[in-house]
Amino acid sequence: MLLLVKRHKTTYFVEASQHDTVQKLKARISHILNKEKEPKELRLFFRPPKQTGLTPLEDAAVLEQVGVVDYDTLFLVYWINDGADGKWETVDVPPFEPLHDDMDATAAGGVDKGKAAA
Amino acid sequence: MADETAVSETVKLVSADGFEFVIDRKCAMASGTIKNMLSSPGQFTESLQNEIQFRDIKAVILERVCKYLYYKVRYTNVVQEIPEFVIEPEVALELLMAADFLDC
Repeated sequence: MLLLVKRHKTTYFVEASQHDTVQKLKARISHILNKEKEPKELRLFFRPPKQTGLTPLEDAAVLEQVGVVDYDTLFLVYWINDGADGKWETVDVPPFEPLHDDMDATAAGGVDKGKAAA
Repeated sequence: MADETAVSETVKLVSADGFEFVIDRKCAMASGTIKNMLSSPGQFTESLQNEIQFRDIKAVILERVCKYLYYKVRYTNVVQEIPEFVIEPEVALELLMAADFLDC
């Protein structure tokens, strides 16, 4: 199954099996990142359907059991090493820009404008 | 063993609004245009860094294109029933233009 792993303005398309563990997925992501980050420096979040909050994913969890399905989006954060302390980044994925600024209700209006001009 | 072969080289596609999409090189090649951009014999930035900027394609559309490229590769040469690739009307027009440009 295909998963979209997002962090800031980047989306990584990662193929995974439903029976894979979160740990295995992190290893794959680490590989895609050219080992810039070790799996233990990665943290994944999932937004279960019908919920607004994000659930952190444990390494041992199996994707299928967590409820992750094909084409789902997961959120990625890095561990920031700050000397002795360190912390996880906050999930920060900006929304895409809308396709059209004057869409939805005014879409039909836009089409008529052209005719009215004539 | 399966892990090593599953994670092949990746390609980065950048949308007009600065969003990046990292996909499998194999899936990127499913687009004729991207394939040509990456295989050009010259020393273009694209072929060197495996990164392509699409100044005319927005993130919403480019994300859908990437999903389609995976769908295409996954179901190529599959004879059983293939699930429909759903396209909402709002994105259909721009998606069509992008698909035409990308030859996929």
